[in-house]
Amino acid sequence: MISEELVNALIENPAVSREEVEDVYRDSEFPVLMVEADAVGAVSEFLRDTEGYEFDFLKNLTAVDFEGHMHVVYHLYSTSLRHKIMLKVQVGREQPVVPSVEPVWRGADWQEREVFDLFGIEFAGHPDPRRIMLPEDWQGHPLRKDYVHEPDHYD
Amino acid sequence: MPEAVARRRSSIAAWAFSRGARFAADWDIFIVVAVLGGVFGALFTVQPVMMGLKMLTEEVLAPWLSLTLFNTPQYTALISRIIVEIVVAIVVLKFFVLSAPLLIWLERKVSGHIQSRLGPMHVGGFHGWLQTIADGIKLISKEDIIPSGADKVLHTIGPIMVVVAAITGFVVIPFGNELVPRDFNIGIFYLLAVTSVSVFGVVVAGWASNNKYSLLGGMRSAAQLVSYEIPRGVALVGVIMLAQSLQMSSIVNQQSGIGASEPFVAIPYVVFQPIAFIIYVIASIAETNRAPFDLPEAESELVAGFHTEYSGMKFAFFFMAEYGEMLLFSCVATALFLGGGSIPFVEGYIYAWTNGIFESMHVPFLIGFWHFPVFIIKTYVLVFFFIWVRWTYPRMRVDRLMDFSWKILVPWTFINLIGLGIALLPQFQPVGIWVFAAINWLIVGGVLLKAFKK
Amino acid sequence: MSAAVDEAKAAGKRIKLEEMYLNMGPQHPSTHGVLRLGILLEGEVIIDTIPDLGYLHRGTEKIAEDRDYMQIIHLTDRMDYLAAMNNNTGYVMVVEKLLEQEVPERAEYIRVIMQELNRVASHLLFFGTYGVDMGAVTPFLYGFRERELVLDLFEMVCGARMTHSYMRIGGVAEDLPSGFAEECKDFIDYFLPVVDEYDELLTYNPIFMDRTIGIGALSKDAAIAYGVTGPMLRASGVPYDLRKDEPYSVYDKFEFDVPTGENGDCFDRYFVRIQEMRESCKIVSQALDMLPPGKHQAKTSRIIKPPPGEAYLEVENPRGQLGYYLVSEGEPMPYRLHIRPPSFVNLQVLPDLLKGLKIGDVIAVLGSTDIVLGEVDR
Repeated sequence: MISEELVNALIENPAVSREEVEDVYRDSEFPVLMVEADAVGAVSEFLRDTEGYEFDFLKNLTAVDFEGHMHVVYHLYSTSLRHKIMLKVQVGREQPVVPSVEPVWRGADWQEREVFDLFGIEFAGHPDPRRIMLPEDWQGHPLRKDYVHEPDHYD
Repeated sequence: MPEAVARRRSSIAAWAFSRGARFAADWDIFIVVAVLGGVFGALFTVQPVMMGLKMLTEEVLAPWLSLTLFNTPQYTALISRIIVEIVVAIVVLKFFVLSAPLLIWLERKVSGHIQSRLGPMHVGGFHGWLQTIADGIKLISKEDIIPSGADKVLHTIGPIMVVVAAITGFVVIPFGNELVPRDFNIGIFYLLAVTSVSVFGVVVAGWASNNKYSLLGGMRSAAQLVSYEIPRGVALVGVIMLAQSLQMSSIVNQQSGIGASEPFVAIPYVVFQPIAFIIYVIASIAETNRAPFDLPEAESELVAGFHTEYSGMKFAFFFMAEYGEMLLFSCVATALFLGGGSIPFVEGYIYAWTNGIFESMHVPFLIGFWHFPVFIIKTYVLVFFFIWVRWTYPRMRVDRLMDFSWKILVPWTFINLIGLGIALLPQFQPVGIWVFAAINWLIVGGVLLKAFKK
Repeated sequence: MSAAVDEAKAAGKRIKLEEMYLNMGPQHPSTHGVLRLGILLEGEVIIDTIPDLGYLHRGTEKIAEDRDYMQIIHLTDRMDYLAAMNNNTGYVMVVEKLLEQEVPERAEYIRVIMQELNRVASHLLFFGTYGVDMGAVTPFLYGFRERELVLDLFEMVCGARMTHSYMRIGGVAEDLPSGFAEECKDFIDYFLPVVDEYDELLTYNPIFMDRTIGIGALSKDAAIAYGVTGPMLRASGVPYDLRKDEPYSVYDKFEFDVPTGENGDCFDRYFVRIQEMRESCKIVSQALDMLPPGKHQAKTSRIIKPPPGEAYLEVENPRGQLGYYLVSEGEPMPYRLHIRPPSFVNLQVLPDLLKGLKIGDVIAVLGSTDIVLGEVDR
């Protein structure tokens, strides 16, 4: 479990804040921090390289679609210090762009491609920003809540 | 109306089949023994029948034809010779064509039992003995597809070359004392030359498919075949040195003691040349493109091999050629290393004893009637070994395959050759060859020990 | 080979080199599912690999948003169809986490037994198919013969051989039938010597070792950077196993080792899985001995409605760490269910591993990653 001091030290960065929720179940193993979209690259590098944090393992990278905004969600783990943390980045629904964390954790490569494919969130700086699951000429992003499937030649 | 008839007919067949199957299931083991015994017993009659037919042709048929029918007495010998040669050619061809299905069936049964399953059980009733025939009929009835853009002539010639290479090798095999289809005095040389023709067939097949992956597979296969020809050939040179002759029947006779003035304990050459024997068998497995050397034609690899674009009978030709070559190399190994059709060590005595008896009974064609079955037994032991190895080992990678041939097999064959040459020098006789044999067996024993110690 | 080409070019000779693009298509006997690999070759050497996924994409996550929590259990079976028990367990555990639901101890033990048996079955299939990839067909049949025994045990328990749907929120669907413990013990007693036989047949076979040792080595740092989990990670030398490091369910009550490799090559990955089979057998026999009496499922409300919130939970699948991320808004259907598949993340390593190897090694490396396309594509 990551210690409170380390979390507080992170919040001193203006781009990082605690998630404000009330009466909602939150996983105690994964303290949630909201990160501004522009600062994702810097924060990720800081989390990986700084002593005391050493988050070298990206467990999961995904996205959730809410009304009016979307969240990109990162679950991180440290193999040396055995603690975990969760980052969330809020983006809008029109033209969402988030810096890619692939330079920091190579495992983000395909997971970001999947998020792009199914949600439409673009990752700036990703080496290979193509769709991964769906065919290259697919229109739309299916995991969005407002996705309506129009019959095409695959049907 | 036709439906009812068809149903009734099929039900009679079904009843008969099920009765037969039940009978077979109850008396299974006895039937197995009876069938095998019958087949084996029939093998004993092969040589006498062949010899009898030959005598019949020479002494009865040819004179009748030339004197009575054609009225050309000077051509008697020629006519008898023509008839004999034609019959021999047909018999050799039949031997090949009949043993290929048998081998395929045997492989499927043996591989099944190795993999703890049963293999064909259904087709034809008793352990699926008609399975290969059914598969053959299926293959013949398939459409012969030639890919567009492929060279039609070459596409047809490829499989033919490979099959011909396999068949013509059987001409010099000494199946028995008198059962050599054509006893060339350069027998081994002929054999090595003719089996090399299969390389052409493989390359032609790969090229003629108009498919770059087939071409790659064909090239790889050809490289493998050529690399393994050398250890094969050089391993046989040792036998030639011991026998002082290239003639197959002469080699067999020297191992078995037939034809010697005094019977002696004859020793098969495997005693003096175990390393050469092992190398010959391994190189033969590689020559037939069987596992563990079957990367060029492996199904689970990218390049599906030179026979991808072949269907129907042409594919069947490749298949038959593989099994025919397997049988051919086993026959050659038996003849050259294991003593051919002779019973090891005691052949000379038995032969001399029966020789006297049969001569006095005026049935000279019965002499050596046990040669053919004994030859077949030894050959099929080796064939079983081929099959066994195939289903036990994984596949070697191509470059490792080449390494194995050039860096391990070839040096050892040459060491064997030089050693044998030294051992045969007159200064070292008569003990030299035995010392050499002892050294050989020590090496073989050492390798086996290392292999079994984990 | 490129060095020789560069030398020749430097010496002024004109050499024309063509890169060949080889398509190892979706239909192929060895890609363990529908995976398309586009391989750029220079002669026999691989320059680059471009995997193409999505042939088995069925939209599981989208469907899950339209099903209630009980129905999704059946969806999770079909992802990694070889490890259905593990998939089910991960999913019900994440829902139980949100519900803060207690699970009776007997149910936990039964879950462990089923998961470990499924691990054995999955690794047996890996053993068989890896043998076939290498060209040895016989181990395939031996592996499947043993796997049939495990599937018979599963059929005894839940009626299905592959897509079990055996776990329920709060426990398991049904209690163990009578006679199961004896049959299971018989299987373990029979199976452990058979694994030694497999070692003799394939593991220590010189040809097999020649084709797998030193091929496709994944370094420790690369494995962690890529987020690789499971036997692939452990073969590279990182002893990270969820059952030992963050024990869930009742795994902390059992004694077992975590096999770890050294070099991260294909042989290590294969060997780690063979050893894991033995360890799983140990766990199953301990669990059978320690099985407490009790209920097999806790009482839950008829309609499962977790409170609003989110939870993330990982379980140790035969292929790696399977993660479930569940976002609930208090409805009978989840708002968002994300599945983090181990095979998907593990497969990212493939282009890096294959650079510089020869064509003949593609199958060896791909087989050793032990992916299941149902999980990669969902």
